[in-house]
Amino acid sequence: MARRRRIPRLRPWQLLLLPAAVLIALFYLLPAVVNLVLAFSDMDYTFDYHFVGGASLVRPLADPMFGVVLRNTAVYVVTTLTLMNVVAALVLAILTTEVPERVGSVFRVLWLLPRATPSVVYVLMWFFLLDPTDYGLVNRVAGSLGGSNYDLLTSHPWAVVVLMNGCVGASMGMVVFTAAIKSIPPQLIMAARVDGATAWQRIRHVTLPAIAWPVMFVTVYQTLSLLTSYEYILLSTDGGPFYQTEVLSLYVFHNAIADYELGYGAALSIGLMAIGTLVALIYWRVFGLGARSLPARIEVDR
Amino acid sequence: MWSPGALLLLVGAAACTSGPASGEPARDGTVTLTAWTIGPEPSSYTRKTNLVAGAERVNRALGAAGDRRRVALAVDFATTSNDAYGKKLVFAFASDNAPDIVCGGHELVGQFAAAGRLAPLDRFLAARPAFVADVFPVLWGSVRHDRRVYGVPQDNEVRVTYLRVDLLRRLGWSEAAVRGLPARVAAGDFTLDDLAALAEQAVARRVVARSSGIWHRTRTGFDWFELLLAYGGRLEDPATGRLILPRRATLDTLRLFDRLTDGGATPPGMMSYPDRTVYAGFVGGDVLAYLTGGSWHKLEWQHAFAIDDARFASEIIAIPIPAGRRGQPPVSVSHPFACMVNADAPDVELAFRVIERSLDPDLDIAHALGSSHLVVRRSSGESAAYRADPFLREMIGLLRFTHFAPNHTKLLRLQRILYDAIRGVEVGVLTPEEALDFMERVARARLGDDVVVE
Repeated sequence: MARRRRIPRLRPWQLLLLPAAVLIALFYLLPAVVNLVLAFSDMDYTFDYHFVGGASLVRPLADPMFGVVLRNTAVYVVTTLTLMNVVAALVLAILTTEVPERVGSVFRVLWLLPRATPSVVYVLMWFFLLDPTDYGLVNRVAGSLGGSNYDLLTSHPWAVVVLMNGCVGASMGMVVFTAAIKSIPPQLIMAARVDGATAWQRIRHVTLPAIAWPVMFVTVYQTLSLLTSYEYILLSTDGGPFYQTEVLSLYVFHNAIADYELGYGAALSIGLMAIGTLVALIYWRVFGLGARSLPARIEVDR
Repeated sequence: MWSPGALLLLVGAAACTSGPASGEPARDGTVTLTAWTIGPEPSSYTRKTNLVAGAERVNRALGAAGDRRRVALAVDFATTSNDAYGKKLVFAFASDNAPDIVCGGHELVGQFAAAGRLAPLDRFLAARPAFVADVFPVLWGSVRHDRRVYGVPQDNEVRVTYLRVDLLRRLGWSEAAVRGLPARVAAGDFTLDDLAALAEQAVARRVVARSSGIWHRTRTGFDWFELLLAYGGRLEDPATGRLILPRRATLDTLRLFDRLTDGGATPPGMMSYPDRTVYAGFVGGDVLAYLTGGSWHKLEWQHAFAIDDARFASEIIAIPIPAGRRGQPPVSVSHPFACMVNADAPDVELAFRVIERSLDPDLDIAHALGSSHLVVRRSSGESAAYRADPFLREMIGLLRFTHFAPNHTKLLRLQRILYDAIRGVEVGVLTPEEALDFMERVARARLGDDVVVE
């Protein structure tokens, strides 16, 4: 009689981790490995793999537009992050928690609509607003007030891109900050009121210190998210006019998918990953995230 | 050589690409073939129905000849953009999911024949000398790669500049002057500079609003090269097959767009205008000229804006792209649509025969009349039905000025670089000289030895 093969027994914690580990391996590690392999090739639309060593990796140094693209990426991330994803989100969260609950909820739902709208539909709505001729809503309003037509996508592309992205991005921070504000013990707020604190003083000395950790989390998360996001730029300006809004992630797309330079696109995205990692490490150090990640205070006996 | 990474990428591509599977010949002799074609304009739906009709005719011919084979053809007609269609084909070929008959712009020949994905058709054509002779000879050049023919032209068009007749009249043009314009353009007596001056005059005399003198297409495309050709440039070195970036013609082109936007004839943000806005502006009578038009626009606009032939003829006139220099001939660019056969098709000969029969003169004419394209067969062009359409008759006459895009694998990259440069000049970020410098540097970086700056 043949011996039955023993199926290796997994411990409960291993079983619990297994689905997540498989997903991470398939959708995070494997693409990164594939990308790394491609970055050492000159693969094009024929999908033939020719190993070219580090030629693709050093090619950005000779790329006349790479510097412009890096500068644009910095402008895009810093501006959208500070103006919309953190500051606007914070203002929204504070305002909607300061007003009666029902009114605040309505405003929060309204601000979540851009996130719930498909990207293409969302951008089309912006086009209806900003059409440079008389057909655009902005120009219709301007015309009725005696003004002339504006072509904001051409004259102020960054303003449009930041607003377009920010209206989606602000909602995430708003939800996180609202939850954090609502978790502040009410007696702290009441004590401040009893002490005669004004609304601004309550926000400045009670609310903001209490939500410092969520603010840091949203800052880190949204920075990395903005570094790799390009769909709204692709749909609205496609990086133009003339590279003015071409960010690194979009540049990867244009090279790899539009021009079929898959090897070079992979090399550029290695650079993007390196920048993301560097930024994350800087945040780790500046925000002292290690010190804030304290060990659990409750021990569970097994 | 394939690495695990490349194979993995292909697995992903295969998962993302769908297409009807073609089959080996069945026992009953049925050969299942698949075909992909595209408009994108809906009026070109006859590209699909002609293939279906071609397959039916092949089946009848097979039956009459006692051949037990029969074709079962499934055709997919796309109305997406040409870019999206091209991407779908790239991934379909890479994952061995490509159709047996591939129809699209003739530049696909350069792209896929070079990669060994298409079947050469020379031996089938050699057996059909009458068919080969009946197709306009100039068209065969557009489907050739490395001295072999990889496709059959399915239709053709010419690119033209459209002008509003009613606005010309308001500028004081007589009927004779309007109707004599095509002859002046053909003789090189009306140049791109004259067109720019005319648009500036229309703006200055308030016949049109500021920035409504000349509008043009807003996306990348081969159309932009026609201006380089109009200024006497060439795009390919026939001896080496390398692409050419002609410095002088490019600079003149960039200066033209600088003048148009600076002089108030064209809006600086033209490239960000939606198509519907552009077309509505010109066809609605607000804009004097549409620079980068094509023969297919006539029917597209007629359908979109409910304009009959008589009104179209009375309001809009088409001319070839005027020459850049006085005394030189105008230019047009043709972008023949072609059908090719996948090298892995189960029966290449039958696939070829389907394509051939889809070009029977009656089908060729029906497609041309229904979609405002040009016929590809001389006998079709001489038919009474085709000659009865004055617009198409006029368009076919412009073939004498026409040029084709080089069938080069990196043409699309050069096309995008030119588009970026023109856009940079229009929005005022670059001077024409800076834009030319940008083009040279980027073309050298992205195309390497495949481009020559001359």
